[in-house]
Amino acid sequence: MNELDSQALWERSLATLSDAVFLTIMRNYLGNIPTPFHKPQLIKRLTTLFSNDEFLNRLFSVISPQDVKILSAASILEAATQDQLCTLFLHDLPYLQVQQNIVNLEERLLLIPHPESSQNSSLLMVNPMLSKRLREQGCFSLRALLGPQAERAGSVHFSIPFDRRIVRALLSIHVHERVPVAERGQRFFRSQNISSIFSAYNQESIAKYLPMLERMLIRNGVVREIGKEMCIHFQTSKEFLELSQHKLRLFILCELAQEMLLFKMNQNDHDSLSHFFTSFSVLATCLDTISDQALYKIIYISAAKYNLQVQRYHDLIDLLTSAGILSVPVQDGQTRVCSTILLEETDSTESHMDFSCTIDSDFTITFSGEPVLDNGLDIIHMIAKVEKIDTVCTYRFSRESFRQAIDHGFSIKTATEFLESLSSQPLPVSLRNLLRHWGDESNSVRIYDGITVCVDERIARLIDALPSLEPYKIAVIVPGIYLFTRKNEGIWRSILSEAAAVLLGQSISEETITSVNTGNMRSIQITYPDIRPLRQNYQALMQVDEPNRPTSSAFVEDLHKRALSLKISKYDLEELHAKIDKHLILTPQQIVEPTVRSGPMSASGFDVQGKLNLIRSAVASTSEILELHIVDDDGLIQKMMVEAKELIGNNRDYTLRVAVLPERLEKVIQADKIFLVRKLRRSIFF
Amino acid sequence: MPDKPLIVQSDMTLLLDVHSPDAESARNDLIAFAELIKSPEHVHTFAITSISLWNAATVGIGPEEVLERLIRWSRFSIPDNVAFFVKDIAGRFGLVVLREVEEHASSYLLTIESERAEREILARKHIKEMLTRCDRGYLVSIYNRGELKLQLIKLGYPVDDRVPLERGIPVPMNFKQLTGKGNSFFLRDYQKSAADSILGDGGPGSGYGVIVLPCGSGKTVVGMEIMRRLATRTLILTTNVAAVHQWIGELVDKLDLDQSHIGEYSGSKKEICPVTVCTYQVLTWRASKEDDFVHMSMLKEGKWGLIIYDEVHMLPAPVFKITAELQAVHRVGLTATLIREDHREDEVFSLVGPKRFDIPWSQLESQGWIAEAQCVEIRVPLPRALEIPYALGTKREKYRIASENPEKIPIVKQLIENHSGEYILVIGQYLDQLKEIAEEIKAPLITGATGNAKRDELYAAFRAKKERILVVSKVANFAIDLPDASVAIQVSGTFGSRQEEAQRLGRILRPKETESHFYSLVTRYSSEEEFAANRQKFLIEQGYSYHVEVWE
Repeated sequence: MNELDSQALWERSLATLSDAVFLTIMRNYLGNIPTPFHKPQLIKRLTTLFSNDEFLNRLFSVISPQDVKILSAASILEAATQDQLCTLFLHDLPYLQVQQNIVNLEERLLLIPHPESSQNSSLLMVNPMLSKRLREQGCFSLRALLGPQAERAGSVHFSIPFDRRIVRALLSIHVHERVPVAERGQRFFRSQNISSIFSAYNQESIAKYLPMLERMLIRNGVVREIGKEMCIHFQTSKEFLELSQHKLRLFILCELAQEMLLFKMNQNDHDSLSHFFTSFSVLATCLDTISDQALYKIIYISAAKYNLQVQRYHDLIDLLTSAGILSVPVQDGQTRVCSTILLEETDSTESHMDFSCTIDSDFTITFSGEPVLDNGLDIIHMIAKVEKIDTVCTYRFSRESFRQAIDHGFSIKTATEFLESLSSQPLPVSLRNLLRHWGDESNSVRIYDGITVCVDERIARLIDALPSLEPYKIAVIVPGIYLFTRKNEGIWRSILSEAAAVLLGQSISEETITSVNTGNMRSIQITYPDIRPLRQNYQALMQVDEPNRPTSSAFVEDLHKRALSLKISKYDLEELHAKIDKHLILTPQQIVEPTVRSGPMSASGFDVQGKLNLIRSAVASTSEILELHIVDDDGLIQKMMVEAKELIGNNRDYTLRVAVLPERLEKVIQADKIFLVRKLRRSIFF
Repeated sequence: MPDKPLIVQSDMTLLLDVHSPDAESARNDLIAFAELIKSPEHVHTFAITSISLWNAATVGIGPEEVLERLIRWSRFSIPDNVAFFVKDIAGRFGLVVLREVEEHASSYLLTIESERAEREILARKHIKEMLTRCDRGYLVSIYNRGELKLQLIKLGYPVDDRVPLERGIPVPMNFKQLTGKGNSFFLRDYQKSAADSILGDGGPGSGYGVIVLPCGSGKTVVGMEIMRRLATRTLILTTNVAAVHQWIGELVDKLDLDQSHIGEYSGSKKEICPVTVCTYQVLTWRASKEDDFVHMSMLKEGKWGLIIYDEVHMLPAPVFKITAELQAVHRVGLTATLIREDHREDEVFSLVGPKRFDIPWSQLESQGWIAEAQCVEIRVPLPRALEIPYALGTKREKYRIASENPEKIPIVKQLIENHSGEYILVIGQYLDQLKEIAEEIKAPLITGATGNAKRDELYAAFRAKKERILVVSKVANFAIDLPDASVAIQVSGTFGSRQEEAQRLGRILRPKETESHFYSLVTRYSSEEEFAANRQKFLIEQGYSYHVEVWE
């Protein structure tokens, strides 16, 4: 952002302030302000002050390490609420300390309102007038924000392949098994039979995520209910498989995140989620190792950046580890690492060159990597049944599996050509013969619309002779073509199959073809964010060492002395000293008699009325919060920050309904339990 | 381009690309700690199991060495959990040790090096009952040695059994320079390796195990080599009387034992000699279910130094218990196929011993130690007259009708004509069918009803090339050595038995100048096709492929 833009943004921000707040700020920085005042003029004067090198040097010299952390977070987030910033440091420092630190940064105009703030979202941003200098001063530092890195982790990656491998496997299961609908289908995916395909992976995770992936396929129209079974929609499944690996991974993660309600979101917003996961990966891979504290911050930064509120933190961690993005510490205290599997930037980085496939004499297809297919037709899952997904994928084809492929409209010729295209070695003659035999068998019976059965001579003889088929046979159209009853299709199919020892294919019908292979397709939309600017920014921030901040500055002492030289009351002097200590006064020009008290007000002990007055003034206030010291049943003091919601009762017998910060859990507190009340500002601006 | 031959999978399986130039070297490294599971044409599958790792540990191959070998050959990085598993499981070997105790002749000393392991072990009541605490650990009755080892291995704690095996009463023996038939005899490399794998260095942890070798590759010779090295009183258990006679014939032919030192213990003879050959059947014979196994004492009390379990996959369940008590004796199991219908393979390994040696059939074939065999499935149409009876039949009836398809007989005749001059076995399941075939082709028939003497006579005639064709029932499935048989025509079988298919192929795998042919006649469009597909699985996994033809 150039200087003019920065200044324009700064001025827009100041213009959003209420008159009272505006005036208070001006008075603090510009000294006495007569009323009425000319806002644009004052803004111009303030701008001049905040462009003055000497002033800025003093401003930067009193920035503390904690300030750096908060400013770094605000810089990354670009626009953040106070709550979002406080949440980041929940594990590091007490909430009160962080919250008051943020208020102080507001007072010092290091954080100012974002012009796009609304009543519902009070956003702060780093003062654009100061951004460039702050960056030069090393005040934006990821190292400072995320804390020191630990030694190389002893953690391991356990992951489920949330990519084409698992999608293809699920599709194969649908093609070659009878997957029931609804709840029974969900149980089916938790069965031992299915989990054994994925025995290489954590079985609890498999049992948890497979049904979710199945629901994802259903939601996206890849699989749909036809009759009592789930069937695949080939065209949509093809579209799915045509997504690049990293896009597919991202899509799957977004879908799972939505299903698991990991975030509080305004709407079903894949884009925000995909940005979150990408940002998370970019940020996390900037670190060699990730401690629990750093992980927490990275997650919350990445979420806040895209207006997501984390609802289920531990479930999110579970998803990230199951997806192989985060490693799992083997022992307590070990740190994690983040993999780069979400960060492939172009398809050419994928492992096409590493594709290796073997079609073996035991009818297995074993491959690693992803095939490059001339005509884009990926039908491994159609012609073969998945056996194992591991370092390599193993599928097995059989008479039954080819039957299924034929039912889905693929000829033996297509299947044979496909197999040949996969393997670098020619198909054995014995296998070719077998495929031909299976093709002949499949042609011996065709069933149309569930009632018209066309058969060869042999089967016609059986149909004519079997008494058990008579009740279901409606008519003989011509020799070899019969009409059977639709409603008993299951029964006569079974009889015919047993008697003729053939695998009967699916009934061919217009409806089936239409619904299975055409029909309305939901287009798979996934935005893959451009990670380069993110990566550049984060890597630059990682290069910044945690700055050594001075513990004191000479000019501060000078300011205190100047304050002492004023002829003002003790309370006003206290006010001035407090402001100097809070770095609100940086120049001698600011040392004037204060007009308002800005420090916190408190009452405690037997000052019941004082406590009551403070509480009353804070009730339902948006700009003020209370620090309460509560005496518990054991006589110990418990401190809490609260929003005062309602005062019930009067005088000494009141109860106070509060929302305890930061979680905003509601509580009702008896008056006699409150030892100390301190009223604090929530924010200067809002 | 990927050039390393091995892929390590997270489920502990190892896939070896046999076409890689390093495949052989990799295999030699792997077999020490991984079991061969299957070996089709292009990719052989091994598995790392707890038992295979503990096995490796007994010969000094620890987890670091295992991982180092995996890394050396692996095309991709080793999955983390595999490394974890290897270190964890292999690391358990040596925690539980069994030793002799001088002051207790009827007990052994069990020590447990890990507190956690000790707690886990003692938490199992049936294990705790076998242990008596003493100052140095726990005492275990010598009779419970096998059972204890079995239970502990199931719990995940292999016992480092340092109790030396008894040598038994010495019986010196050596191979003859020339066999009884006047041929020079030499041990093949893999036979020597197989024997080495059992005997090891003779120290604790050696002297017992199972050898898996393809049919026709000379398991009997491996057994004899082990006998020769141990030179001890030996009991050989096998499947039937013909096999007993075969063993005796081989012992006489190749070892310099006096014939009076070799005994037959069977239904008709009860000779107990320094080397005795016995059937499983006679051991497990009893007058009624309530009676004892009267001949089992021969196993227990024979003061054997070595017991050889031929076709160990057939080990009957009652013999398990006794085998558990024979832990002090050298034990060898021999088989080509390790498939048991009762799924007690683990117990075979625990009680007889772990699999020590396995070699792909295809490897021996390529080296010429077993014959190259062409497998053909001929699909035979069902006559029209049988189509309806088949369609109306029950499942069993369907299978029988398909199996006894009369259209198979002309095919048998045609095949015999195609292989005139060769030595042919016609094998089947149903006696009526076999009788009919035998009459048609005018060949002798051997079934269960054929007396042992007659069987021996016919086998001998076949071996002597006086009979060119034999029609046999499933009595000839196992252990019958007919070196010149080069054609087997299977007209029917026991449903989907993979073991039977492999054993029948084995009848024609003795190396010879010509290729062998295995024909399986299967009725088209019948349940026999499906069963045939199942039967062929084991052989397909060994690298054989079936060429399917339709007989028009």
